[in-house]
Amino acid sequence: MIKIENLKKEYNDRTVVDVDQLTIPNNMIFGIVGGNGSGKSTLLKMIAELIPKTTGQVEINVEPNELVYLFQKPHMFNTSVYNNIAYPLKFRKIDKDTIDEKVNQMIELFDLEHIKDQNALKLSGGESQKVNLARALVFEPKWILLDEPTANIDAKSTMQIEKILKSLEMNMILVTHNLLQAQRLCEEVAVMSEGKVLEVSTPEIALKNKQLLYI
Amino acid sequence: MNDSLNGLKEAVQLIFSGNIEVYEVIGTSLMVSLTSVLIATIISLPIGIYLGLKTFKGKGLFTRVLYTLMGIPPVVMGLFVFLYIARSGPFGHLRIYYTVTAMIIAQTLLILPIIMGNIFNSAKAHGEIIKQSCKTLGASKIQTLFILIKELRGYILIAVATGFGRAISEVGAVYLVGGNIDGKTRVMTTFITMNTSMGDYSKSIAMAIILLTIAFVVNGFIYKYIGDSDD
Repeated sequence: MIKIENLKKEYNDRTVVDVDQLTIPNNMIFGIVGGNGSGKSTLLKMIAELIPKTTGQVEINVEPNELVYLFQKPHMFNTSVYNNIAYPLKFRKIDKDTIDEKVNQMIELFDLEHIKDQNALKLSGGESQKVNLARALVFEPKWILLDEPTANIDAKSTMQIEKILKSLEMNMILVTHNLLQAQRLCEEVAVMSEGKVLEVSTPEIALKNKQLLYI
Repeated sequence: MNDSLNGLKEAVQLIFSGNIEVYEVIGTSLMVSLTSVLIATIISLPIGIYLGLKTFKGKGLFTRVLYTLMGIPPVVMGLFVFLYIARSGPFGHLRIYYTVTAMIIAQTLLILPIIMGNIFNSAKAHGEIIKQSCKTLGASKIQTLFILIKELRGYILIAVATGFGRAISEVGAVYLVGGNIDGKTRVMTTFITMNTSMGDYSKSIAMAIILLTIAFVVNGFIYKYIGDSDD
């Protein structure tokens, strides 16, 4: 469970996130929805400690390296797809045989066999996002934080990624501006506007709420 | 035109003549410039990357100062180093004036802002996403630094090539602090300057061709590596 209290982020006296209280439960895909500039990505980055918070608290009962953040535009390292997926395990000084076993499991799960030796910089948007997800899952994190994972990819790749995400049964937070995607994937959503959480409900109820027309 | 043709002919003759003086001049040039590049790169890599990624008050001013130093004339840097190592200067007791050591110091200081500035810029432009990706994937600080160097290697090599080009081709700094002592501190550029002033254009042109060829070969290797590493 992630508990957020009085969390604030200010840039040059401009408040971009101001969340009084938010509890994100385990074992589900929790959505954070809102329009451009609503503060959802900034909130996610503060949870991942990628940017410092101005004030407030984020309580997560896991080690910092058990939580992974997936960028909207993933950075692929300038090496093969295989090595990209192996990096998190190398960082944790896992032995070579285990690395090989786990990386190959991911390659199979994400159907990346045909491109595993290819330089990851030369992948399409959909392929990059699949490698990004495989790279995040390979070290079995406790939390996965996804920032618009399908924003820059085609419909076919979006469907594949959504199918994988649904099958994972892990603690996940999904930031998206796509309300229909939130409805397909999330059990609960927090609706954000101008840095504040307006409501937390099921995607269906949130969709009916007329406030969403303005985000 | 005659001078040029003679120069070309003499360049070939000079290279294959077995003339010790020529090899010494080329050797001293390469030793001074490559050592300076090595020292400047070792200093610039961690500092350039760190400052490029760090947000701090006065970063704008720092950037402007760094850019100014990138264009500092070699003779000004030579004068600056000379004032410190001359007999009456604060480091006069080290007696390194008119030595290869003084030339290396002057060239290192000359190219340090060039290499650091280029690395700083690349880290500022491309480093943040790499750093954040490493962090979220569980890398330690030292692992992140190694990944940053690996990922920015193309930009780093361009920085090194630019620094080397500046070092091997400059004359003002090495001449002021090293002089032009035959067999000791004579380098290709001071050799060219001396022979031109003596009216021996053929020798100057010959050495200029050798200088250009060396710069071309070294840069060729670097750019070949950049190309290969992107494949």
